[in-house]
Parts: sequence; C-alpha cells; structure tokens
Amino acid sequence: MSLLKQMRGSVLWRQRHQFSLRILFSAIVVASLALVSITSISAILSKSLVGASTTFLAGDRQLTSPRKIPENWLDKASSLGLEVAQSAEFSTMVSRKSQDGSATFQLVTVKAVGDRYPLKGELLKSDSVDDVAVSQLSGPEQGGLWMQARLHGLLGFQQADKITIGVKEFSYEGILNQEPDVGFQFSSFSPRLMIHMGDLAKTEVVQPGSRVKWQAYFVGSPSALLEYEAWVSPKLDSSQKWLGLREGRPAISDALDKAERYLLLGGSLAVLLAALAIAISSRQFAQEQTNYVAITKALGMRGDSLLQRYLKELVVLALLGVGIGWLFAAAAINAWLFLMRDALPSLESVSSVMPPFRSLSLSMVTALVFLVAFCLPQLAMLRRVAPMRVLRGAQQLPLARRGATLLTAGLGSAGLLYWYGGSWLTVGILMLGLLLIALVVVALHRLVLEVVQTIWVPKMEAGSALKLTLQRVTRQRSESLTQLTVFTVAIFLFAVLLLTRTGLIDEWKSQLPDNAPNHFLINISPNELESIESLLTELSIDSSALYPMARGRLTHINGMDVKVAVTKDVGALNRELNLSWAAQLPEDNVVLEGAWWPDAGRDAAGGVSIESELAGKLNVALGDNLLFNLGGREIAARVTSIRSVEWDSMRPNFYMLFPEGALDSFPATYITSFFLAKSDKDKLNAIAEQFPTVSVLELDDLVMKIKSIVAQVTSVIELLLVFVFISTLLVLMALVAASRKRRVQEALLFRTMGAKAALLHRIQFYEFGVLGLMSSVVALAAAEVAVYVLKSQLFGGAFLLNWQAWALLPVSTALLLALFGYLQTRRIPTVPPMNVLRSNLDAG
Amino acid sequence: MSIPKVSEKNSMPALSVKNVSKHVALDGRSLEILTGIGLEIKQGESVAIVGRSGSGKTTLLGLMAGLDTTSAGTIELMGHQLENLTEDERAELRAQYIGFVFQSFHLLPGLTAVENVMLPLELLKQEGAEEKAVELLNSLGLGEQLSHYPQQLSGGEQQRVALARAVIARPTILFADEPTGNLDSSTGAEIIDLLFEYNDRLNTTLVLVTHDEALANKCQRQVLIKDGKLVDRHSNSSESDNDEAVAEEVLEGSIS
Repeated sequence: MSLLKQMRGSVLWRQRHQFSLRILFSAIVVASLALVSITSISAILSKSLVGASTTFLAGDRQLTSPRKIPENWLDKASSLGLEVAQSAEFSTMVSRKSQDGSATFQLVTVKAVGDRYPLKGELLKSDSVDDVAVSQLSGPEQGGLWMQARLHGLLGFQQADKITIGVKEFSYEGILNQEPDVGFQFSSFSPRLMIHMGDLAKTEVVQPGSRVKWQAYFVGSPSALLEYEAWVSPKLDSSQKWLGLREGRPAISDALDKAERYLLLGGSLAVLLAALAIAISSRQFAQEQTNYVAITKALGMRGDSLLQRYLKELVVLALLGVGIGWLFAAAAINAWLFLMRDALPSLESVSSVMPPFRSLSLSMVTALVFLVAFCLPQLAMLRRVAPMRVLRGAQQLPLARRGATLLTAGLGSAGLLYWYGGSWLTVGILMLGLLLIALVVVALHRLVLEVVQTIWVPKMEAGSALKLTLQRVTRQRSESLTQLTVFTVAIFLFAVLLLTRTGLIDEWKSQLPDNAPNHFLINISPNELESIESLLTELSIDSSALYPMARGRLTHINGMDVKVAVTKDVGALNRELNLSWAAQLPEDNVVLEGAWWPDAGRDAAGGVSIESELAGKLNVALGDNLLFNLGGREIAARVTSIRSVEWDSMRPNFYMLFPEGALDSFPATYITSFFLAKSDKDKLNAIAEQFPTVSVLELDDLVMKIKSIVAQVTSVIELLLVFVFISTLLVLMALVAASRKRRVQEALLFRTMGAKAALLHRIQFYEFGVLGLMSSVVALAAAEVAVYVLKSQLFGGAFLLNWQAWALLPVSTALLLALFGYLQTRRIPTVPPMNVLRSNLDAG
Repeated sequence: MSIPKVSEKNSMPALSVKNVSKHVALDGRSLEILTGIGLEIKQGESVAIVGRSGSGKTTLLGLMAGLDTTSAGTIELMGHQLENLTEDERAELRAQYIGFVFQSFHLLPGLTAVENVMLPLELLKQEGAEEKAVELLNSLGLGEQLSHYPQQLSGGEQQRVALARAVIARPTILFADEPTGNLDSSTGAEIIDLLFEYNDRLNTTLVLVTHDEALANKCQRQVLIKDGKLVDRHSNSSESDNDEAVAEEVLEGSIS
C-alpha cells in the first residue's frame, strides 16, 4: 500500500501523461529490448554457429601432428577434464580378394579412429549403397571396415570379399557416407576407408618414417580448452598444428569472424541510437519541468533536494523500463527461435530461451548511464530556476551548456561502447566518426540552408506551401540544424549497417553461389576427355573447364635441395603437388607480381606461375628457378608470376601453373567440377558406370553446411537491421515529439490567421520531407566514407559505391519521414483554434 | 504612422450575434456556457466584453471570430453567416477580415520579430511582406529589435510585435483577448493607446475581452457577461444605472 502511495506521490507519476516522459520511457524500453535481444540472439547464434563449426573439426579443438601425439599430452588434457579422441590417417594400397581367388588393388586413404571418435559432428554410415545413411556414435569395431561407395566400383567389391590392409584382413561392415572432419583438401583424392585404431598396429603398415597424419580431438569447457591450449602450445613444433574454429577452415572462420564484428557493430549502433532517443526526450522532459520546479521552489523546496528527488525517480523509471524491455525481449527471442527453428536446424539444440543475465545488467547499466549522462546537465539547470518565474509566467528553461552535455554524453557513450564491445578501435572509429559527422553535418546543412534561403526561396511563389515550409526551415535555423543533425546521425548509423550488411552478404553469396560446384571428377585420362564431355552434356551437367593435372614434387629451388633451402615445415613439400597448365588465367585468380603468359614475353616458355601463400612459405620470388620431379623425370621452370587463389571458391585451383604445352610429354589426368542437385545424384551412377576409373568427389554436404551457416548469419543480420530500424524510428519519433508543442502552437496561430487545414498538412509533410531528404543525402555520403574505413579496418573487402542505396535511400527516407511526421502531427490542424485563446497549446 | 486612415463607412454591421447559445458535454451532462446572447457591433466600433472569470467572455470572442461554432443561434461576420461555413471557409474569412492579439502574445519563438510580423502577409500570398513588416515595426519603435527573437524582447515589446502582426494585413475586425493581462500598467497603457490608434485611424472594429477597467472604459461600449448571459449593455458615452454593477463585475473578475 505504502509503495503504491509513494508511487502516486511521485513527480513522474503525476506527469505520466506528459508526452516527453512517455517517449523517454519508451526509449528506455526499446533500448533495453534491442540490447537484450541482440546480445541474446547473437550469443545463441554464436553458440550454435560454433557448434556447427566444431563439427567440421570433429571436436572443439584439434591437434595434428606428423608423429604420434605423446601420451602425456593426452593425459594432461584428460586431467583438465577434457574429452579426448584420436585418429591416424595414411595412404596405402588395399587389396580385395574374391572367393575365386582373384585380387584387385587400389590406393586408398585409411583413417584409423579411436572409440570416442567423433567427439563432435556427424559420422554417417549405411549398410549398403542403397540404404539410408545413419548417424553413428563411433567408428567401426575392431576387425571391421567401412569404405566409401566409390571404392566398391574401383575394387569391384562383392559382399563376401575380404579386404586386406598391410598384413591384416578386415571384414566389410558398411558404407562410409560422411566424416565430419574431411575438409577441402584436394590433395587426398584417393578413396577413403575407416578402421578401428586398435587394428592400426596389426596392419603393420605404419613403420618408422611412414607418413601419417596423427590427430587428437578435444571437447570440454572453454576455460579448460584455453588452459590446455596455453599448456600445449609452447610444446608444438612447426609441423604440429593446434586447430580452433578459425584455423583449419578459412571459409567458415571468415564468415564467423565478420558476423561477430558485424553484430558488435550493430549492437553498438543500437546503443547509440537508444542513447539519442533518451537524450532528446530527457532534455525535452527536463525543459517541461520548469514550471513545476518554480512552483515547488516558491513553496519552499530546496533545489538540491528537488534534484535528488528527480534523480531517484528517474532511476526507478529506468529500472522499470529495462525490466519491461527485458520481458519484451524474452518474447521476441522466443518468437525468433520459433520462426527460425525450421530454417536453422542447428538451433534445435538451443534449449534456454531466457535472455542471459549479462544482457539484463548490460541494459540496466546502459539505461542508467545514458539517463545520468544526458539528463543530469539539463536537470542540474532546474536548480537554477528562479521561483520568480511563477510570477512572470512560463518561460523556456535555459538549455544546459552544450560542452557539459557533450562531455558527459561522450564519456558515457564511449565507456559503454567499450564495455559492450571491448574494442577501443571500434569505439574510437565510432566516436570519432560521430564527432566528425556531426561537425561536417552542421557545417554542410548550414551552407545548404543559407543557399536555400538567399537564392531559392526569394524566387518562389509567395504563400505556397513549399515556400512557407522552406521559410520556416531556414528561419528557425537553430531548431532546423538540431533536427537535421539528429536525423542525419540516426540515418547515418542505419545506413552504415545497411551498407556493410549488403556488402557482407553479397560477398558470401558470391563465394558460394547457389550453383557453387559441389562435385569433382578427378583422374580423367586424356583419352576419356571427349567422351566424358559429351556424357556431361548429355546429362545436362554444366561443368567448369577440364583442367589437366600432373603429379610432381618440387625438389630444388635455385639449384638447392628444398630440404636445405626451406627450413620450415611446409606440407606442400612432403607430398606430390598437382601441377597444371593453362593458357588463360583462371577466373578467380589474380596476378600479384610478374605477368601472365602472353605478357611474360620470352620467359613464358620456361616459366611457371606460383600461388602467393606457398611462394611466401618457400621464400620464392619472381625469377627464381624451380626444379620439379614428375615420376622420375625432371622439368625446370622460372617463376614468372605470383598469383592469389580463392581456395574457397570450390573450383579446381593449383599451386603451380605452367604455360600450355609445357607438360605435354608428362602423363596427366584431368579434373573438373560441377554443381549437382541432391535430386540429380543418380546421374553420378551413369558416370561411374561408363568411367570406372574416374573418381567422384562428393562435397555437397560440406557445401550445404557452409551455406546453412551463412544463412544463419544472414538471418541474424537482417534481424539486427530490424532492431536498428526500430531504434532509428524511435529517435525520429522522439525528435518529432520534441517539436510537437511548437508545431501545435504554430498551427493554431496559422489557423487564427486564416490558414486552411490542407495548407497546414502540406507544410508538415513538406517540412519532414525536406528534412528527410537533406539529412539522408548527407548521412549516406558520410556512411559511404565510414563503410570505407570500416571495411579497410574491420571487414576487409573492396569498397564499392552503393548506387542502389543512393537511388533508394534518400527518396524513401524523405517520403517515410514526411509520412511519419505527417502522421505524428496530422491531428494538429484539427485542434480547435479556440485553444489559442485559452493558452492551451497542447494537441487535444 | 504609415498605415493610412480609412475614411469610408459601411452601413453593414461588422458582427451580428443573434440568440447564440453554447453548451459543451461534460461527464455526460450538458454544460451551458452561453445562453441567448444577442449583440450587434458596428464597423469601426470599439467594444469591451467584460465579466468574471469563467463567465463565458472568451467563449463569446472565439465564437464571433469563427474559432468555434455555436450550439444555437447565428453569428454574421461582415455579412457572412458563420454557421453555414466549413472550418476552412471560416479560416478564409479570418484571413480576409480578422486580426488577433492574445494575452500571452503567442509569438513563434523560432522566428525573429520581423519574421513573426511577416507571417500573415505570407499566408495571404502577398509580396513585399518583409518591407511592410520592417516599416510597421519601425513605426512602433522596434527598429532596433527587428532581428531579435521573442525571448530577447521584454513583455511590452513582445505585445507590440504581436500587435503589429495582428494589424499588418489591415483586418476589418481586431479581436483582443486580455491584451494587457500580462503587462505592467504603464506598458499596458502603451498597448491600449496603440490599439485605439489603429481603431481610430483605420476604422478597425475593435472587440476585446478584458478585466482592465481603464481599457474597458476607453471602449465605446461595454458588454457584461454574467453566468453565460448578456446581462446588460453599457455605453461609455452616456451614464447608466448599471455602471456600478459593471465596475463590480470587472473588479471581481480581475482579482479572481
């Protein structure tokens, strides 16, 4: 009861019908809603994305080594509470012995896995080629063997046949459909099979000096993983690798990285917009308190205790608003999850739908900091209100010093942004950018207003709505400048997010278009070229070009043995490289140094083009001489160009490219890639039947996984944009509301002077339209500059002027704002003009 | 004075109020504000509407200016019957015939003095608004304050600007609602002088609501409203039995 009494007795409760107080409260609610939703959803997503990505590693982290991983390393991981699994991968020949005694041989890649493999991700197996693949908790039993379906064809395998690896005979247990941790390594083209780790020694294939890729997988709490990483990292030599999400899989880690930064940026912008809305409405509210303060002071209340009272009540108001915003956010998140569940299967694992505590404390601190930072200077002014005002009648409260407001607001915002994002660089760019844009905006708008006033307005027809509008916009300059600046900043923030979003999503889409190749045909012999091309045409398969490929090893650099010349452990030196030749530079390759063939002149004949990262690792420069060994025969070449290669493009790519004809005398096979929809999978059978020696690499599941991640990231970015849009609208609303009283007053006066309702409507419409057009043009220009800076600092990628945005944003903003302002003020002309006599200038 | 005196007289009354009532719905009940008001104001006449606070003076002023509509009865403004007009048509009529002076000035805070005065001419699509406004303000002794904003002006200066705004379009009827209510007596007196100067020189009909006895006494006629009824008419040019009653009402009104 007493609480209710207290509430009823409060200053704010009594003024609950004040429009500015309602906007202030809504701003806090929306700020809290946006903050809580964005932080929660990004947390859910990042968890689910990390989950999806860890499946590519078959664990949270992975350790790879060319030697057996020491037992004590694994024991240490277990002692930290981590789950550990192991595998070993190597190439060898397998033989199939049929019951009639005949045998076939095939080079394969064998993966021996421990009981716990895989710790993450899906290992799929089916009983036969025609059966449905079923997810498995672990690999084959001891003595058992799973193999890829295409090995069936290659070996001519029958159900009763025995497979021998080394000296151990295995029994066939089923088809290996999918391993979680098979990446994009095109080096391992041979068909794969899987056995139990316990059988590895029994095969006697792995001997000292054998090339084996040992892998350990780890799963556990983030802190334990971090501790283990810290412990094991110093022990690793250059041939051993510790793989997190970001390491092994550039295509995914890149998307994750950018999405994370984008969410951070979006969250920060939402905070800034909320701050703007709070700032405007709190300033307005404080101004409206003048009379109340004057009266209470006249009645004997002290300025300090009055200020304390306001602060206390505002804090309560903020907490209440945050609480309500939090409840809305919980509802919004659940609705989002409900809508997304079908589209994003990985969200199914998300059970907790209550926003995390951090998001609640985040928005509480945010609301309080902003209220204090933006309200305090203005509220402090209330102490200066002289009780004499009661006798003199209502007058405007002097505005707080701009310096003081800017300082507290700036410090408050910067501190919050840092706390929120944790990157001073982002905070710096944002704050500096905002300051710059505010200065430029004011200067620019001042100039435009001057030009409009002195050149354009005098030429217009007297009394027209547009002239009246422009007159009031140019004459009430300080108000117009304030509105223009705030509009511009709000639209700027929205435009930055919109432009970066468009850029990011386009980039991802261009990397993985709908018809990105998801199947590879390898090992095509030269005499099969024509017939395979005609078969592909017949099957309506649109394949990329057929690339020739010869296998060879790099042996010498400038006459020096590579083992001496290169001290680093470079994987490419330990295996045969795919060497190719091409007359044209492949589509997504870019020559960074040197020149492509026709321009390389005389050098072209004995030249080679090398991929830039490998060149860096091998310390190879233009003009260096390389010697390759292809099946015992040697070929020398001089480096004539260094290329960058898009490894994520899913097209065949090569470290070494020779001029056309350079490798003609060496045995070569061909490789091609194409897109095949799931429903067209049976076309593969036709290829396999007609060309039994051609291998098919099916990467469609992998491509699907990456696409699903991109879809998730895209969906959250769209949602973020919706929130930022709402916040932007709220800022605009706060601003329109702040000027509402003035507009009513003006409209009423115009009415008494004989202005018709239609004219007043037009003036309102034009005014917001003009403000919208001016501010969105300036905002978009500033946003392009900011996006350029952001791209070069945070996201990478080329800067492109966004013509679509230029064509659409200014006009649509002007229209939207005009409509919005019109709707907000549409009742004004219908306010009874009698009110002007009663000094009642609030809209009815 | 820059505005030339209009000498021609017109026999048509500026305002003709016949049996006008105004009631509003309040909590489901009908509240009578004005009942059976009848009144005729000639062109060029100056009339003070007096009465206690809440007696209905301001309502009557608003009705006569077409700012609100009657519940019953008719009002003719320069021969136009207001009841037959739409809100926009009444606005047009105001633009053509009416000027306003308000108790709390109602200057637009974002506009300078001269810009405030230009407004009516701009709404009427008249050229040369600025020159006319400057000239008028100069004649009112505000030549130094042309580009001042309302908050930079004293109360008296603000009301003079408001007065300039009210008369710049040369209205036939000038309505003034407590024009001196927010001013000290000497500043108020200046404004009163100006009002009557316009009334006299331009033959502007002056209708004002006031508690100010001095102001009421300067008008040719006083109309007393009591409890929503017009209880008497009083001409300042001749003695009346009701002098005392009017004085009492005015006095009570001014302290209430």
